[in-house]
Amino acid sequence: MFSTPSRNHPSIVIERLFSVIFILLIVAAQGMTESAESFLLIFSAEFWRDMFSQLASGRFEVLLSGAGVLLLLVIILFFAFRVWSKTFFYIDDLNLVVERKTIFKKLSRLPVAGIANINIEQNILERILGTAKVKIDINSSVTANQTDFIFVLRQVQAQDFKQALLSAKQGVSGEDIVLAQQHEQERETVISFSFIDAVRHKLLNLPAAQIISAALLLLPAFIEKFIPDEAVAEAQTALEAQPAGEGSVLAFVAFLAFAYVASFVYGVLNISNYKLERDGRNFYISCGLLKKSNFTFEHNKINAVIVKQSLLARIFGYYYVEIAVIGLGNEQKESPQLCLYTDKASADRVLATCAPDFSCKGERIGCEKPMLVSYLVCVFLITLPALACIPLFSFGFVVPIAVLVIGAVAAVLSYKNKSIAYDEDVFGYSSGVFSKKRVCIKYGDIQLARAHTNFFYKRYDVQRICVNILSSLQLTSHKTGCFKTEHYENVASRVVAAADTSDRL
Amino acid sequence: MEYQGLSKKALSVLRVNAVIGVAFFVLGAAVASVLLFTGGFKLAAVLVAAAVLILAVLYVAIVPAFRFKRYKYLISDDRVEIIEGILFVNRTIVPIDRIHQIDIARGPIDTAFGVGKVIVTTAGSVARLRFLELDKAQEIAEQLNTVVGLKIRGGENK
Repeated sequence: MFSTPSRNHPSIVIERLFSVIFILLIVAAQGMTESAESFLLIFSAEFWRDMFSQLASGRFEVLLSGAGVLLLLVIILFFAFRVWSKTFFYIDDLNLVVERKTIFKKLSRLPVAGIANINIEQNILERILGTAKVKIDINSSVTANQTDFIFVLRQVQAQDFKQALLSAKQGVSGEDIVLAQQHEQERETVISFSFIDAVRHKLLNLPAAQIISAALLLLPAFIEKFIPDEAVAEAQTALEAQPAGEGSVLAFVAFLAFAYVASFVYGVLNISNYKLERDGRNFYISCGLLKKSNFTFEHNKINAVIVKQSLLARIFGYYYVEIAVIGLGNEQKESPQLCLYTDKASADRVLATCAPDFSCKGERIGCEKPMLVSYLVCVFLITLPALACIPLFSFGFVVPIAVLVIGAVAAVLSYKNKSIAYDEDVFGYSSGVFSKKRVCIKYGDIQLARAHTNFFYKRYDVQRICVNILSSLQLTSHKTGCFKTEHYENVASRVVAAADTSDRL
Repeated sequence: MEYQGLSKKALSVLRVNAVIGVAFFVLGAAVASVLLFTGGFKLAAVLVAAAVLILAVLYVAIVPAFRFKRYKYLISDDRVEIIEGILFVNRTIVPIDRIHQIDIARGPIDTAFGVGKVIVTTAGSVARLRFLELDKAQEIAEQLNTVVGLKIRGGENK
């Protein structure tokens, strides 16, 4: 199977052009239904002769009519289906071959040994049509922010294709196929989450900025009692004097609220029934009610482990674990999660089971004071322009005070949350302001170590440490706070001494 | 092993880069001065033009010398180390065995002055040794190529 050239399912054309088709159909329908007579004319040959003669004489504005847009849509679909019919893929002994035989020819040979992840995903349209997407990623930071190859096949075919690739991969690595199958049968569930857990995860993931903004929006209602009645009446009169001002503001706010709630619900449905399983070789993550996703990656593909806590999670004592795995979930900036928000004991169990090599036993080293000084200087500089608000309105002094207070609190929290720790195998650091994260990286995975300093830090012999790992863009570079130069020297010497582990990829 | 600095040729390249960098500011200031002058703000026009010119001259005279003095690099058995910067100094360490690719690149200004840069690529990052004389760049590239080649052959023998 798949040793002879195969095509994608034709629905791939509709999926890729869905938004274009949708918009063009709307425009075409709008153009044609303006007059029922003009709509019926499109079925007459004379209409099309007239249109083409106008195009030939250079009157391209005719394309803006409903029929013209429909013609454009037909042309786009024709060329899209032609590309589909001329695109093939197959697996030979050692490679996945993808060939496009259109005017712009392309032949891609991907050694199966270089495949990092093979994931299967089903969105709503694919579930209706009984198809599924097979997403293939290779170990390249150049293409780490997009899926390298996407195939759309019938659901059963997609599973067969994935198995064929895994078998070819295991054959290249010399692993016994029977042993590989045995590993798969020994799959155990590490952790699973229900719909309620997914709702909890999304609620706990609310950004601190949103929570603070909501609190600030409620603040006027609280302090209103302290504002003189005359000022309140004056403001209300001004608002009511605006033509349809209050109504349009309310409509806009209602639209924003609806959009936010819809996005929240969609996010919950995409992570519902989240399950993490493992066998002797791979991890398997499955989740989603509307869009079903399945991720598979090998144990040794984890390049970093990140334990995160939002502001609310810190209050209620929940943790969630992200991982840096090249090629895992990067297209729509999906977070590569190992588990959703859960209690500390469960999070520790997941880490001990799935990433025992990533625990750092080194002593925690706090951030040096020059970092706090530089933060406070930045807060002061940001407050200066806010002073311009004072003469603008009655309570203008609130703005620079709020900026100063929030900035100073954020500076102190950021300083206190920054720390590093390192032992013989692992480098770890923590950071965050209202939310907090702790990252652990093995020295062999660090590709480059950089220290940043300036004339002020140099006086106190401190530097900011930055390390780069092989990952997608948002997880490539990891910056810490200010620490003594000796710590950078210790970390750098351990990085240099550690063997390069990117070879395992 | 000791850190190595740049050759005198690099200083000339740095000055040319600085001139090109401030040229846009000087151009913008010239336009602003003309507008101010034609708008009747003669004193402001003169002050703006004078200030920008003085700053540009100081920048071209002082900054390249600082960058030249600060720029150091080290190639040892286990690492490539680069120190560069003026107010904000970066010290970059790339372990030798992380290097996957070594390139030598030259722009038109580099070619005119006979310098180039060695670009060192790892699996997940890139580091650059800039403003090197061409023969020095070749020597460094060959040295690193030898080390990387030994590493690949060592990996194959395993």
